[in-house]
Amino acid sequence: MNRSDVMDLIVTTLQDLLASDPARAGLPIEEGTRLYGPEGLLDSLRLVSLVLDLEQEINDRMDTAITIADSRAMSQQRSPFRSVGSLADYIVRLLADEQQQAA
Amino acid sequence: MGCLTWLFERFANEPSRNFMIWRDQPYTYAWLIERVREWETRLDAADVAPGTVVALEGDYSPQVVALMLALIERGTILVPLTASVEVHKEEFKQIAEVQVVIAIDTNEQSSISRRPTEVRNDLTRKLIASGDPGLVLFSSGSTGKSKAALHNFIGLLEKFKTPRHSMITLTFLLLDHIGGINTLLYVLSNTGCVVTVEDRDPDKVCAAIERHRVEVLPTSPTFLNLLLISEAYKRHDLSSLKRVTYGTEPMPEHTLQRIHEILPQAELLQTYGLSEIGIMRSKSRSSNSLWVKVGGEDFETRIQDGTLWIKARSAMLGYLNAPSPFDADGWFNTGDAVEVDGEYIRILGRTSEIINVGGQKVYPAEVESVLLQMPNVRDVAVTGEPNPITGQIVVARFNLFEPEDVAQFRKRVRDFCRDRMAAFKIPARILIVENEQYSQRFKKMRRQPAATGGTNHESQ
Repeated sequence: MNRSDVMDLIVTTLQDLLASDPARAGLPIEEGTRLYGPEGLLDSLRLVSLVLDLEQEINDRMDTAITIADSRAMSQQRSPFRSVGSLADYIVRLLADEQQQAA
Repeated sequence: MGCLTWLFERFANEPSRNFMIWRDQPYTYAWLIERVREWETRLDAADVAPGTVVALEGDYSPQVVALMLALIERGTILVPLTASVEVHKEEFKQIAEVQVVIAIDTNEQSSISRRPTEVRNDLTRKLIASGDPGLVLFSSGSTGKSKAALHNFIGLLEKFKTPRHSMITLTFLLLDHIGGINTLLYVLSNTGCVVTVEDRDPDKVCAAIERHRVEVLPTSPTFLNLLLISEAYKRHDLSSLKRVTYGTEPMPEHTLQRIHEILPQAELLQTYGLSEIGIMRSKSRSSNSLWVKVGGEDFETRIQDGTLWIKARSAMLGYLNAPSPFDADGWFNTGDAVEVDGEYIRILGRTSEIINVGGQKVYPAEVESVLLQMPNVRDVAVTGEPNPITGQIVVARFNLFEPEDVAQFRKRVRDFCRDRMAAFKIPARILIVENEQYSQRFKKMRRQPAATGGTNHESQ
């Protein structure tokens, strides 16, 4: 999975999650779209769901065992969860790390 | 005079009545009296003295009941062990310091063997010194290691001296379970009849109810869910049922309503009991209500920080392998979270099973009750899982009738939940599993088997 695959997956997963939120459904989702916090698309519960759905989907497709939300993610200087783009970057890094470990 | 003289007198007054239907054959109280006498002779011959710790291996059968009564009358310490605890049998015998094992196989053939064991446990020694019969029950161990509760049998028998209705009762709970012992003693003390079933398949249970005109069905919410799912009630005449009792786990409200619809003539009663304190008399506000009044002459209850505490005359003497759970005044913390309305309480679930999502409490049973209403859902178990964001998250493991795409199913679950529960209760992790999620006692297993070596296929 390259970065653009990850982006696509984040966008479709977000669209699914937001389908139930009339105030936010259909809003454009781009690199810089804020996920959480002020002007964020998601509340904490939807953020947790997004992360878990992505984890399940990626691990299923890639036969990996990455954990997106853990103490490592929470202790980053800049939260990986601040925007769509930052989350994509973080996931790409996790996948690269896992590949390296496997090699 | 033995401690069961009153009971044997009741049997003698109803010699031709059946005490048990076993493999569709009737056995009378006259037969039972005969077998108890035979066992007394055999126990004498085998030198099984009062105060001996005796393991009885077997499950509901005419001979097992006869032997059990003979052992109680003799003043032994009884350790019932059924096939459901097969893998733990040796461990349980060691904990209980079993000295004699009497096994009754599926053909009613028995064997007696001795174990070179000296009783060292102080609680057991004290009970033996008093001359009273004892009973050792093992907690189901759904939350860790099994604990062995030692009871004085005299305390458990006391409430059965008051005569009540004689009924035809289907046995369902195992004999090494407080509910199973309670059902048996209730039936025998009122010279009623126990109908046994080989299999807990809903259709076979319903067929037995129809054939023997069963009046009482003591069961669990999980079995009632399976009854609804299988639609076995449509294929059999269940009109003889006058009472359905359920306990051992919180009842999903939806299940109760549906059971009330399909069995309008039956009174639905919640029972409340624990291995440690015995079974309390209880009274549901109505058949479709989860509110219940518990207590009775021998029990006191109080609510502390939302948790039910009980003081019981029939309480166990203590655990054989754990510190006493009673406080200085003899109160026992049940660990069950309850809501209170006047004299009624509603059981919300085990305090230890409450899921804490960002500081808000979620009761697994409440979420399961909603999820079970979804089309294509056969069963579901809800648990908590640590999460760095919200502390814990709600995880739901589903059994489906027909396979479904996981991503689409996830969306369907969330859509279904949106208008039916607060957002924090909606499962964050949604899994489809293939293994059954209830134990041999038909109690929901929320603790999942270890990830390795099991048959727990999870589609993620």
